[in-house]
Amino acid sequence: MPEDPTSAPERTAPAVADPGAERRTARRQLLGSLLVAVAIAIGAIGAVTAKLGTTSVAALEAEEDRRDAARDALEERRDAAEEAREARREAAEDARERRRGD
Amino acid sequence: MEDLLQRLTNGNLTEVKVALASVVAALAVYQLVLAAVVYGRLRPAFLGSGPAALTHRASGDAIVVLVVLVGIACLSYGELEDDASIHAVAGWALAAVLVLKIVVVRWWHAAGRLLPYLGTTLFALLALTWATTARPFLF
Repeated sequence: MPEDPTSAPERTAPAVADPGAERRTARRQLLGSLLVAVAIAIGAIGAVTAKLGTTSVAALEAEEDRRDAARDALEERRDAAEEAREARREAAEDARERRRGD
Repeated sequence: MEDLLQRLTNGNLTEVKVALASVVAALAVYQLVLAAVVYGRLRPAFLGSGPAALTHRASGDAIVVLVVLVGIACLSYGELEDDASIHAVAGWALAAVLVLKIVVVRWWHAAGRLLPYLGTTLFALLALTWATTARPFLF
């Protein structure tokens, strides 16, 4: 019995069209899943950078050291000034006592 | 070696290491999802097992490169001489399992049934290695 010509394309069409469509779908899925991987990597880098900041730990430590050194230098200057004031006061008192003695 | 790496990372070796290790950890989670799709545990309508397998392989290759870079940074620090023993043991175990998995995937196909176990072990070791080095910087 001969085949119905009108039904033939319906049977064969999916078999012929499917491989191309399947390949395209697979390619799209592959590209999409790879893009997701790239997005995950970028997201992880962004999250870490946001957490750690753009300045390195070494730079932050160096900054802290500089601040400590500046604070120490300021305290040393204050101590030196205090000692100088004390020395001047003592010298003035000595001079007063010497004048009284005279 | 450490000086060279510090120069290459512009003095940010620790930060680069933390970032790379975190990328590896994040991709490892994605690898688990992809493996579940490949083995049919997950059947999302938008992703078939073929593309998932290819992405799993590509992402895995990227992870290997990143793990090697982070490992070199760890060795340059001489971390193995410190008291970070869990990190060191997990790191070496990670390297061993990674090599074994690559051998099974590329050449030793007869041991293919071990791949899910190797993958799960690899994920656990990656998570442990990340938790013992990068996590303290982030949480």
